[in-house]
Amino acid sequence: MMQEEANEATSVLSVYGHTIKVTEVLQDGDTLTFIIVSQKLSGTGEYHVDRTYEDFEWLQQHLYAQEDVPGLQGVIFPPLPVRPQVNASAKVMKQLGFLGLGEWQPYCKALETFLRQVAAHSILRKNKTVEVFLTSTDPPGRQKLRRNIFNRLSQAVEGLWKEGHKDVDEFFHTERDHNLVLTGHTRTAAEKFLDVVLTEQKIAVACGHFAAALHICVENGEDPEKKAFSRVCVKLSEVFDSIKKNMTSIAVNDMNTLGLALDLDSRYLEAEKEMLFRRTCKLVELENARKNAERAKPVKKNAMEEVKKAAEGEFEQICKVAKQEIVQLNQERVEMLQKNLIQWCEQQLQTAKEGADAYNQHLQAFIAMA
Amino acid sequence: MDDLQMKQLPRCLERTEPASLSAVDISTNSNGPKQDSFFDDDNEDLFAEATEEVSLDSPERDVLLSDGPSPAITPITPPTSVITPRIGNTHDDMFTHSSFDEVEEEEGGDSFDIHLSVSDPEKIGDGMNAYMAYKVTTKTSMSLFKQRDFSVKRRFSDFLGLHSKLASKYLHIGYIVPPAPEKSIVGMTKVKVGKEDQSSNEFVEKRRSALERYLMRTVKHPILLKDPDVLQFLESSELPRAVNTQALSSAGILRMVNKAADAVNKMTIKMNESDAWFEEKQQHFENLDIQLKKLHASVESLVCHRKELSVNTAQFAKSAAMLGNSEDHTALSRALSQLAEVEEKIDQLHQDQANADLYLFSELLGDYVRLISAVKGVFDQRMKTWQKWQDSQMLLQKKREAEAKLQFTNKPDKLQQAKDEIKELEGKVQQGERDFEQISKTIRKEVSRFEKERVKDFKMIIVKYLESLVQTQQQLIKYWEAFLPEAKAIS
Repeated sequence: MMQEEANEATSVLSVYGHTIKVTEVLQDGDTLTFIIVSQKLSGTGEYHVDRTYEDFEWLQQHLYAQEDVPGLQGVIFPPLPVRPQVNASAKVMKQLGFLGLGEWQPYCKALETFLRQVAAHSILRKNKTVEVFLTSTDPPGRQKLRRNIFNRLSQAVEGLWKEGHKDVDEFFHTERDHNLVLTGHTRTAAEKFLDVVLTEQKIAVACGHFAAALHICVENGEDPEKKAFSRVCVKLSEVFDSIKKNMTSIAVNDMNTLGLALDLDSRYLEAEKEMLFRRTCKLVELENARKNAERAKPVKKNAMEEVKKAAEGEFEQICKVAKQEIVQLNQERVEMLQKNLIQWCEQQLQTAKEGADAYNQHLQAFIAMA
Repeated sequence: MDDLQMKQLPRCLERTEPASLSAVDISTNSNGPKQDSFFDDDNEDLFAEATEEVSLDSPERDVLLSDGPSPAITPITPPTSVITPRIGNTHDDMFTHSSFDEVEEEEGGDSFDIHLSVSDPEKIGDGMNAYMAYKVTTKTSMSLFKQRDFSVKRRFSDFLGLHSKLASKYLHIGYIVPPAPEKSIVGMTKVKVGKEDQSSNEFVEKRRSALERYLMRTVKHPILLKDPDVLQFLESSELPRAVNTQALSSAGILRMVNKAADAVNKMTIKMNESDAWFEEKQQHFENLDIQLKKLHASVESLVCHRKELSVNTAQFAKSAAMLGNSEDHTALSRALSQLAEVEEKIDQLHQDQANADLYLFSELLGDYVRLISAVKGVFDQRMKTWQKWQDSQMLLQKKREAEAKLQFTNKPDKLQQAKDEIKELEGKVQQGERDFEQISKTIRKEVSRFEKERVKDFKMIIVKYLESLVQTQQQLIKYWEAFLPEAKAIS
């Protein structure tokens, strides 16, 4: 049980988390500004705020650095997308993956999802920085926090060897293995799917070129044969415009449903991985504390015992939170993937039907032209 | 090379003269190859042929590229029934059989009724001596033919041989002789070496289809259809082997023709084009040439991307399958596996669609790029004919002046000789004028035919293509409808 009852009165989110929308992105030179809208709980209207990526990072850092939240390290933090870049380099585009496509709409969607997840998280939503972020008209302070438990850099320094450290708990042992496998496969699937979408876009462009080239073939003149051939060229050009439209639609469907889903899934599994790693580090710390307590000279014994007890307490808390988080993640993943698979299928089905109709119309028109 | 082998068939080369037209050599300048080369029985030089094949100054080089290296990594299955033509067809599998093409035209009493097919490509022999033999089947009710339903075996060089004979007989009098498909060293070598991969299968199928289209275009021509060489090609069980393959390349012939034409253009005497029609048409075909080449390049790019999409879809399918296998949740796992299957099926559809793009449009445009070369060649022939007429006229003028001078000398023999020469030249001039008028008339008819056929050709291909598109979409709809319940069943 969390002992935040005391805090609850002071740190309650005043908006409906599920109404958070990133409605727009404004570009000014190299800077991107996101407009965030959310509905007030009181029912009296909306909050409109503008935020840059730095503001999102500020929020994330504050969430990481919360004090007096037992088991915080067991939380699977909603993943923030990587920093966006205007006129992104090839390396950044690869990192962004699906989020780098289509004029930042997928990116906005990802930010929106991030905020909704934070606002829905039973522990995180209580942090008042969330409220500030969503409601304050002034951009939140942007000073970097000095203390950051979850600094990625320090994790790397601590040593990757810990990743393989044997676990004491069957549940976590299984979960760590499973996460490793799943993370790899999901990332690969997301990458391969991105390749598919990019090729679909290429085909759409090529169809557009062909359609344009056909217009150049249109000949002026009264000659009936010339007119007939020109008609053929014009109609064929229309066919390829249809194909282009169809292909574009297919790519957009892919992007907005399955693409984003695979991307989110992949990032969430990474977040889970990080959490599991933190827990493992804590386990190592605990085992060291136990050893120290055992070996301690009588002078130091009490101190070491205290340290050991503290470590045990923390570890227990983390495991408790972690278990809940894992169960919840697994459930939400399945729901999210299902929802998106259904949407993907329905949208592609719709597009295919529209395509069939369009092509059929063209076909009838051509046959009638005889 | 398949056409170098002379083991099976007699080595003689028959010259057949068309009934009413005299055989006239088509190279009159020192620029072109010697006339003798047509009927030369010398051993061929493989490398000379190879050099000719890939020379950069060839106007047909662009066309060669369509036979060239394709993205070899992609598995291409032979075109399936997706692109079977809608007109009655007993064969579903386009790979080993072929499409029928039925056109009805009234030509005199005997209405045009021929079904032609080129099928059953069969590799004969081994190693570098091997070649592909094709079955050419004719079904017809026309009285021109001795039977109604018959077939023969022909190899690629036989087709080239037919084209060279027709070109030598008809090009110079203004008939647009359909060009035969291009030779391809790379493609044929793979086949000889026994490489049975997708790209060599694609090559054989492309060639088979191209040969069929070539034959159909040839017989659709009312004059060419009646040519004894054509009839012999279709009917005769054994064909005399065409020997000098250097001469047999359609590209080679057209190059010769065009080189001769270039020589004509370099001369300072410009033709007085009194006929605006010809001037306009010439420009028109120049433009068309450029446009078609652009279109062709555009389609090739599209085909390339489609093949890429097929590869990527297959890879995604694999990754989805692996993901499905590693998922704990049973229903999600199954849905992902189903997803992988759907994607595999879609991959197949992409391949079929790529084939449709390729076989229908790319090949059609390639054919027309080559045809335009033949059309331009015919216009150049007309210029040469005019030139010949003018030359005769000038010569006549000179002879008349010389004769006038001779009048005042006392050389009765020389005078008589001059008078005889003048008589002869007058005949030549008249003939020259008649030839010029005839070729102009023929070209007008041919161009009109060409433009009609062009519209028909394009329409037919487009209809086939649209049918393939519709079919693909309907298949896609089925796949998505089958997948939807699987996705819904997850939770």
